[in-house]
Amino acid sequence: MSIVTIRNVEFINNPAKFSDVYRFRVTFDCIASLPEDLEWKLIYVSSPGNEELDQELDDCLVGPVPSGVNSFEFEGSPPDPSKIPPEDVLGVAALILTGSYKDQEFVRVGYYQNTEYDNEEMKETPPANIMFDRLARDISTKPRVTRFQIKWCVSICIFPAVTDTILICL
Amino acid sequence: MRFTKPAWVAHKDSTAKSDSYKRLCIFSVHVHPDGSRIATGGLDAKIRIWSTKPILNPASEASNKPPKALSTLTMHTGPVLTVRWANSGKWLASGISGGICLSAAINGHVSFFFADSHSPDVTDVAWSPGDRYLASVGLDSKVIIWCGYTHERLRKLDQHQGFVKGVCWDPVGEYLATQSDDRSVKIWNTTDWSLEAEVTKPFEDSPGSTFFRRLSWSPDGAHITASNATNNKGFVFIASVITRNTWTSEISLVGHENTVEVASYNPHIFLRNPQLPVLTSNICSVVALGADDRSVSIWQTKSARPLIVAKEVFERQIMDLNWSWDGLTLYAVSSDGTLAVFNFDPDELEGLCPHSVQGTYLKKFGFTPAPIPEGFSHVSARQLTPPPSPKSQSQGMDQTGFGHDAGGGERVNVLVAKRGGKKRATLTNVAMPLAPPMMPSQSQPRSVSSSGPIPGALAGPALTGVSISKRAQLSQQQERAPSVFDVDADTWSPSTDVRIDAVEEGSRKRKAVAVVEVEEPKRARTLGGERKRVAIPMKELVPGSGAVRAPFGGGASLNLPIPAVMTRVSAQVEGSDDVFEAVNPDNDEDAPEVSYMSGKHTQWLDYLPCPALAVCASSRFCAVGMRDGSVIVYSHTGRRLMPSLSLGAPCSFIDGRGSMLLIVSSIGQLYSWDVKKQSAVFPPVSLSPILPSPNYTVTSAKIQPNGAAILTCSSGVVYSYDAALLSFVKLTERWWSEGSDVWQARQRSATNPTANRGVLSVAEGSIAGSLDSSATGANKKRPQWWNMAMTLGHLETRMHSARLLESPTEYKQALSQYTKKLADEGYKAKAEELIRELMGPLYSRSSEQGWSPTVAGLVKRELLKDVLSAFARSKTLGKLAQDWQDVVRRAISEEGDR
Repeated sequence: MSIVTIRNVEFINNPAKFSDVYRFRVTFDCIASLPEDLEWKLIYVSSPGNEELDQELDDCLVGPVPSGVNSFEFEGSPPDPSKIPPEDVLGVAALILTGSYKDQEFVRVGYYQNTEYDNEEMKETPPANIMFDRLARDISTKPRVTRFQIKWCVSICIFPAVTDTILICL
Repeated sequence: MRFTKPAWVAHKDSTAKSDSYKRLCIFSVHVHPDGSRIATGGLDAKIRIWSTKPILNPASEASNKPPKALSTLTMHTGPVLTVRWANSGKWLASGISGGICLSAAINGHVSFFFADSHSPDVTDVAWSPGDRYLASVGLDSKVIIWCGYTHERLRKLDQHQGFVKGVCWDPVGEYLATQSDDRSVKIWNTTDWSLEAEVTKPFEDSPGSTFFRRLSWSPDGAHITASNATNNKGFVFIASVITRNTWTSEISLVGHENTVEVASYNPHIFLRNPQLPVLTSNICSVVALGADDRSVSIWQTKSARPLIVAKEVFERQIMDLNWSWDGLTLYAVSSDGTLAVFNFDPDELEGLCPHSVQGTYLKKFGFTPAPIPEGFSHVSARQLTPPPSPKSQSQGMDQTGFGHDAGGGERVNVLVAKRGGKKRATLTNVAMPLAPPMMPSQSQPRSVSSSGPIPGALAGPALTGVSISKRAQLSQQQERAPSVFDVDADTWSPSTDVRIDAVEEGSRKRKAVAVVEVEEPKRARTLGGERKRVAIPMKELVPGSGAVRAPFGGGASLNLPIPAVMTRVSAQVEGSDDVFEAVNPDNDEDAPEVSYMSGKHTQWLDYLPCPALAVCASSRFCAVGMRDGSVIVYSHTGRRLMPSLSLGAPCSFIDGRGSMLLIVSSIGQLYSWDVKKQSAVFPPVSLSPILPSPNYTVTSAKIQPNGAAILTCSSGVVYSYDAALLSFVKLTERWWSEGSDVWQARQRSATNPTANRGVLSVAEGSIAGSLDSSATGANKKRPQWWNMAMTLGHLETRMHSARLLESPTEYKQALSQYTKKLADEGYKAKAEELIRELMGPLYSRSSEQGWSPTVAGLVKRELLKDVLSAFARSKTLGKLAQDWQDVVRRAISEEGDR
């Protein structure tokens, strides 16, 4: 059982130009106040076959988190075009948002991002050299959510006499 | 009334094969304050949360909307014996093996706080009004008080002597009540957690076999209904109603055929006559009882008969009962693993008042709860929105793919994202506006302003701080849904025209007594009659001693321990709850005094020339023994019944039963008087014959209503004084334990409270305590006839003792055991002599022969009939019995002729 559950991720600017920052709002339930910060990362996966080409677009900390429904806004830089193999720029790429607590990843939300030129002519006949300023991106609203069980080990600290045998450390 | 047993509410045995599914015991049920869901705790170590709508509404059940099972919490390792929602609805407390667990409940998600506090099991937990405290009780005999806000452990109350199996709070917040296998209900004062009172009388014979002893406090604060009480020496199973402040139990709820396991009050105050205003005399309550006879009864306290008795609802005993907050639905669970629901229409529960009435009514107690810890507040969930409807939930799912409604009219804490990397900026979010500190309300929706925090924003520690961040977007916006929270106040108090003024007027006139509404008659003037009872702390003024050695009677001079001079000595009056007490001042100016208390009122008082050592109070008189060796005997109205007796030495023991008074003085003289006849039962006699060695002493001295003394000696012998024989006689002794088959102490009769324990078996029990040392003796090699001789000797002694103490039941019991032994073994000579003794002289008048036709109040010839029929069944004694049966028949017919 997870202490933090994502309720929603909204992309505030979508669709947008390829070179725009990613702006989105994450809303999540937290059922116990967390003494440490939650860490969120946004990762751009251009080439699924080569993990080294993944770009970490942004990384932020949120906390301390009180129990209840929480939300925060988050901005991520656009990917560095020079690090994307030219053949992988157009078409479908993946955008991954991860949430971690105490260096343990507890959730991974994946989106498909479709990248194409912003006008019909260029879509039909793409220029030989990619013109990044004419690219537009559209993020599909259907996320793929993967949850991981981690050791939260937090909510029990309220009581003086605690045993670590309890199953909260899922 | 509608009755439902939803089959799908079950705790299943996951280890069993899937096709043969087995229901496991459900130990506890509790309805969420908003009524939308219930929690059940079971043997499978799980807590399950269920929607109530499918239970109450068949259409909802069919459509499966909302889902029936909402959530399952599986963090426990042992059975979940109790589940209780907080009044705020924010927490679910559960009692498990080793401690309590708090689960925060937000939209079905749960976290756990564990407290390793009790061992082994926690049997019950309860939230105080306003969730100020949480109390947990367990099999470790302890009561633990937790702060409802900080969840710190505040107190441990460990005065119970047995498993504690039930706990409830006074709705006023002034007291806490706990019920234990030590056969007591203890009431604790929440201001200093001292023991306010202890109620034992209704539980003296209550069986220790029940799983729970769940008790409940009435919503008007006037009564506690305690489970597992008995009447009539354990033969009648009842729930006992304990009255506030006097803590007496005059009312019983009778009718269950087995022990009552759980009592649960409807949370509403009811009016006896709905047309009349809310006055104490017009208030009653509704209480439900669940018992081991597998039935549930519901009582309205204005009537002596239950509203409803539901029999054969379950296949096994009832484990828990709980009323919904609207007071119209009762949930019951049983160890057969099923849930039953009783759903009432408002007109079936006549006189139901809105909760606001209770809040106003309870103000008359004028109790101010302890301030809540700084920075905390609780909001009642009843204020709040019902859980999101399935419709909006599914919408949310479609839109976001996260399966949750993101909008939903809750408050959302807006946090600040800090730029990451591993550098942790010193940032704080500013998410929650500090709620205005609120007094824990008595769950009256109206008293809490609807501007309080909203459900998501559960009041946690106050957060302060500023956010500094390069790109952080900080805002304090509250996404507050429009209007949702403003509706509720009215929904919970439908009758807004309740005449509050009437409530207050009524409360000024009268204090707490509600169900027993006899106006106390104006009391006649007595000595000290107007004086209030003052609680005097018990402490020792002059230590007790055994060192008053007085040359007395020339020969044996004994010295028995003298009780210490205490500031207060008291005795409960036999057969009533009144108390006779003596107070010794700790200064020289005040005089010692005795007084007779009824509840908190002094009935009368008297002053003493000398500090009091000991008191006793029988059904006919009160007696006080003083340090100078004099004794004063009063009637219940305070008249001296006898001249002051002067014994020359202070008393060591004093006891009274009926009109008999017994005193053992410190120099070992035994006195016994009949106060009514104003004469001694026998001349004073020295205890030196029974205390041959200075190593032994008398540990207790009691008197029977017939004047026979019962003296327990530390040597393991219980003596009496037979005035006819002018000698001490042994009533019983530990010697019999070494071979007698009928030595009761070895059986578990002491723990079997339904057994009607006579005076003799109590006496045997009293010396059996140190039996363990001689238990090894049982393995010693004994001669062939040892056991039989011991058994017969023991039974013969018992018959003599029962005769002397005039305990007819025990005489009859001993006689029948003796008869059976003789018949089994065929001791013809003994049998014939017994028959002759019971038959008496045949052809002469009995009085001339010194033969008494009765023994211990029983007619000997009647006993003889039983004896003969027992002998008649025996092979060897059959002939003898038949002969004598003829003789008896002839004798009776001849007497008839005469």
